[in-house]
Amino acid sequence: MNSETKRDKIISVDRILLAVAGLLFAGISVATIINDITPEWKYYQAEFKDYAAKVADEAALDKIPSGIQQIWAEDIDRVDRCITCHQGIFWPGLENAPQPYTTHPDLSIFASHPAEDYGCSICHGGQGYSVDYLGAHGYVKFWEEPLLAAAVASDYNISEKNALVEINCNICHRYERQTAGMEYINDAKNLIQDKACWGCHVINGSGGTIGPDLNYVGDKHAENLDWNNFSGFESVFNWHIMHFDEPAQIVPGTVMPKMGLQTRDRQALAMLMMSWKDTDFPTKYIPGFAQKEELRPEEKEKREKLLTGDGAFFIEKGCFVCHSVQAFGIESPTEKGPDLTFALDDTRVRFRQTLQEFVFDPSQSGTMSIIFGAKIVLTDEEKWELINILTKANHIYKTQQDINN
Amino acid sequence: MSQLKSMLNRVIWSWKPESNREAGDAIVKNFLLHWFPHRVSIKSLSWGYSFWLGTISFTLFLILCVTGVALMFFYVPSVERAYWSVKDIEFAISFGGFLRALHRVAAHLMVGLVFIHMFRVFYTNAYQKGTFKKSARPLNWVLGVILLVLTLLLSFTGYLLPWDQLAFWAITVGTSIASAVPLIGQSIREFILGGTIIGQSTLIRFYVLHVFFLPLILFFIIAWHMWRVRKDGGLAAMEQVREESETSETTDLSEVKSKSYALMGIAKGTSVHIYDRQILNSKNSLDSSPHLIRRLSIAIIFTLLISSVLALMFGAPLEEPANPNLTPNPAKAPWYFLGLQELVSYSAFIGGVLVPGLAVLGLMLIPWMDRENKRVGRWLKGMSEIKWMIVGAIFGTVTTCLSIVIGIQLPSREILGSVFSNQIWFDLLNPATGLLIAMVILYFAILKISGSSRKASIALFTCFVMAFIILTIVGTWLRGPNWDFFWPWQPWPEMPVKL
Repeated sequence: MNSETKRDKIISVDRILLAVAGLLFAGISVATIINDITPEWKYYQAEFKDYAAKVADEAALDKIPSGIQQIWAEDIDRVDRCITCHQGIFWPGLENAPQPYTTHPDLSIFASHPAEDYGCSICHGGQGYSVDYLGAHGYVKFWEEPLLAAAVASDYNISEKNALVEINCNICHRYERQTAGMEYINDAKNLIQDKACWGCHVINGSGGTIGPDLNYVGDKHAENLDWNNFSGFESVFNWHIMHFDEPAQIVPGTVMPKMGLQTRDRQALAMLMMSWKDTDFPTKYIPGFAQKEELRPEEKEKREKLLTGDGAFFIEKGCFVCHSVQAFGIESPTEKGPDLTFALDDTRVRFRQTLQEFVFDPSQSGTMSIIFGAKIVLTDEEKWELINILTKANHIYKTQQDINN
Repeated sequence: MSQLKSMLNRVIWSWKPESNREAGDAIVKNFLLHWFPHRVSIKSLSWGYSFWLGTISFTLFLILCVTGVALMFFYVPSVERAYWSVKDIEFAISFGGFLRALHRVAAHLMVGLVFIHMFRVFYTNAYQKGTFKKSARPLNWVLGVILLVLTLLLSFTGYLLPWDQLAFWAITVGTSIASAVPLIGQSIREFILGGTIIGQSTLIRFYVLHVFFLPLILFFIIAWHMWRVRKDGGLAAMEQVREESETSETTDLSEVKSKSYALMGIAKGTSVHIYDRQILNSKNSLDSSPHLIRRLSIAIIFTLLISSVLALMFGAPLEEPANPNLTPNPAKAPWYFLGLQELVSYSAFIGGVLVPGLAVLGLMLIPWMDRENKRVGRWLKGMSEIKWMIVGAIFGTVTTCLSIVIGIQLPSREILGSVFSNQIWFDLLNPATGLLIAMVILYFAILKISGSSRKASIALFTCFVMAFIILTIVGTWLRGPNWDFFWPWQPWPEMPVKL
């Protein structure tokens, strides 16, 4: 080939190549854009309008949001985009619509668990960040919290199809002895007491040390369990079920006795185990969470004494912050106000009112009108109780004076 | 209309030369006009000589810069937020998943192509000085090796950023190798991590290196690398072009003014001129504009195209959030370090310090190990050269496989442990050391037999490449939980799930 034709060939082939490259590049650009602007959720949002039209008027329909929707529960650091597709969750009337358009089966739950404070995945599992079907429901690799739906329950032959959600309920409700609507977990908690599991295990912070500490057993990963003698579907949940059946078969040499549990009991206990997780939720999310300081024995005795008898009223209502009540042995830490032992006489001297008049109309005293008006609001019954107690206090004082004299 | 045009001109191009001299100087000083020579030889232009691997690598670097900057708008380099910000990029941000996949694909391709670019330069003997005045190709080879190391470091630092299990443990494995350095190993590791464990200080360190320092250094060395190509007389293929043109009967061998440092000076004859023989003529070369530019565009667009298709096909994975208390089994380093990890499994010092150190040093020294300066800029040709490549390949395959078999079959720790108690013996007597010694013997044996340093280098380099490839394959696909050996058809034991 002579150099002229070689050069010409390079030029003509390159022109074609550049044209092809340009066309293919335009093609891939279009493909990329189409891929990005046609996510599955857009399809579901379009469909939802048809179902919503059956139960709502024009104005409500116009307010249906479009685009990715999310609930950000800041306190528990959760982002749930479930409502991007499940747009009918808060719409009464769509109970019989197919998923993902259905109304939440128990709308009353949102009264005690507002969606904006909890999100969805904290109860239901799944991957709140995701907006595609498999990813969001957590049926993907590298996501350990699948949606706790009927499909998973039936894998484990659990008769109640939504029972697994109780695992997540009990992450917060672990310190409650019994919780309405959590049948499996409630039964499991009964079993814990019946079989005295705390004899060997630390449970909710206290118990024996013969067996392992179960406080955060729900955080145990598959890697931390013994699978050598296990047969069947290998999952942590199943491990617990099998282990409750025949402890010695799963962990040879264990001293844990066989309890002779029924299938349902074993499932319930396994669910309880899965629920005992360490969390960084604020304590207000955890009912029954005990927040108390430790007291010295003498302090404890003093406090118990204060909380019994007639003086308890002043402790419960907070009067003792400013007022001592000598007659009942109450010493105010601040002593800002007068000793209430003398209230019966004081009101006469200072306000020219009987105690009864003053309690029902404290306008003569600026401080007390604020306190009774906004801070310590008493019912009429309580007011009468207060008058009686104060009269009694005065009486006790006078009697003591007499004895002393 | 003309008013609009002049207004537009003022906005986009405000400067007008006052004289011809100013106009000429502006052209002389323009960087873009001088990136390429005005003519380019057909040989340099051909697909088959260089495969345009340098161009493609640089294009990938640009893709990485663009996608990387876009990702920086969304990624949060904090231990608490990093993983979840990547989830946001993946699920909630327009083109987020694509950007991330493209960034990952381009990164892996760049590592691979930089390696292959090095192979090409080696096998075309393009690291030799050649015959051009002021050529310093050996220096450019060294710059290339530095660029290779920087590319690996960039990829490695980027590996940690998603803060998932894959990231956390790959970096754990990767940085623990550093602690195998005698005496100061632990300090080096702490310096890299910013502490004794991988945490926030490690993440921010890797982030700043990944998005600022390493790309900046890489950019300047790339610029130097490309500038040297021009200064060395173009691709090494030009040596061949020059030789052919000199032996051709039609070529005029008289020297002509070929270069000056002031354009006007050439016309007036008042400037310093460089006289050189005219190598490029209308037969063996083409104008750079448009022919080189066109081919460049083809290479760039195809690079974009292929990486985009790969990005659409394979998204970037994101495993569970990083959990320092849960080691995945097996925990593996990024793929290009798996060959080293295989050697580290025999001895951390040999595999993690000595071998990579010698490999980088050896690669840099190639131009000085072989200074024959013959057949520069030509692919291996003829049995006399290919023979040694085959010898190197076979030798590399056999010794590497042998050392792996010995490593698996001989419980050397038990045998040696019964005789010695000191760690030094395990470091000295293991398959990795054997492999290293075998390569040194190969080089000197062939140097002796063939009497040619080029042939000995070919054998050694090929042996090294084969060992690298085989070890990487073994580390990637044939090592499973507990670093046990698995054939591809043997399933790994499955890890139980949670629910």
